Amino acid sequence: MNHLKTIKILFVLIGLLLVVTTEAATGHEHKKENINMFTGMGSEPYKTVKNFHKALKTKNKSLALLSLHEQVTIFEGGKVERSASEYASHHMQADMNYVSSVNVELLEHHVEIIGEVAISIARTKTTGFYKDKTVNRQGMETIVLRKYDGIWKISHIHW
Amino acid sequence: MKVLLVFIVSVFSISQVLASESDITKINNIIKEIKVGWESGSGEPFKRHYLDFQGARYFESGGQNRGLNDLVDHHVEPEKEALEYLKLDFSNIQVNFEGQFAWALADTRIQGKVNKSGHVFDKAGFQTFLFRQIDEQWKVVHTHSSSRDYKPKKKHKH
Repeated sequence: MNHLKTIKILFVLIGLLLVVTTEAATGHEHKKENINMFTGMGSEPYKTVKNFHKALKTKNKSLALLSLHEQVTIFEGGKVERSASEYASHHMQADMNYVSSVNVELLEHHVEIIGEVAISIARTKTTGFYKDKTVNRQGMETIVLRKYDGIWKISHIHW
Repeated sequence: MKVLLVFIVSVFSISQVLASESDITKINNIIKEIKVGWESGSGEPFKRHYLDFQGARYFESGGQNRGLNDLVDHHVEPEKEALEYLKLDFSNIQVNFEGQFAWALADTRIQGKVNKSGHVFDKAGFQTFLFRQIDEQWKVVHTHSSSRDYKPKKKHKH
């Protein structure tokens, strides 16, 4: 009799465990679904940002400059560059050397158009080797784009 | 007729200039209040001036806070306990407007002392603030700050 009671309790416990684990699993899925890590992909300003990164990665200076407005402000590594020409003659080459040597994985990217302005906010994970050093870091990027004569150009970058 | 036209255009231009000056003042005041919020470890200015929305992200030197509550509860207010003092300066603030959107760029200087270790830090860098105008009020929708150890500029030798 006691043996039967123990089996009954065991069945009840297994049932409860199944309910709890199923709830936890579906709840986790719902949470995952609620967080969209990529929004605004495919929009025109997104394409400008994507082309800019691709141009840096492939060391195509003239193509990279096409995405930048001449009066762009670039905050990078505690320093500032206040025009595309200044960037092209200073940090751009180093940036192209760096991004073409490492692997940059996009973790999150959001692009939103607000009238004639767009904002692009992204997080990346960069891994690999550069100048004999292991690279494993998370990067943040904020970009402001503005539409000039119907063409989206990058007006501000913060790395 | 011409005089009337010139008068109307002038009044419109003056009102536009005054409006943008007023917006610049409003945004500068928000930045001032945020500075005080960081220094005093008070979430109140952030709750007043930041737009609370699900996708909000605030970046700081390789890290981020997701949403206003995360920023206030896990960054701004804990610093009150963690730091003996914090001094934050925004300078060279440049505000740009495009309709209902604005972005402000500033130089930053951050000085403080960590309670636990006694470590004193002095950093310089930059800050980006993104704003949206909602119901005639400017609201911060994103921030990005980055800084490095402060190094005084070397004087030129003549």
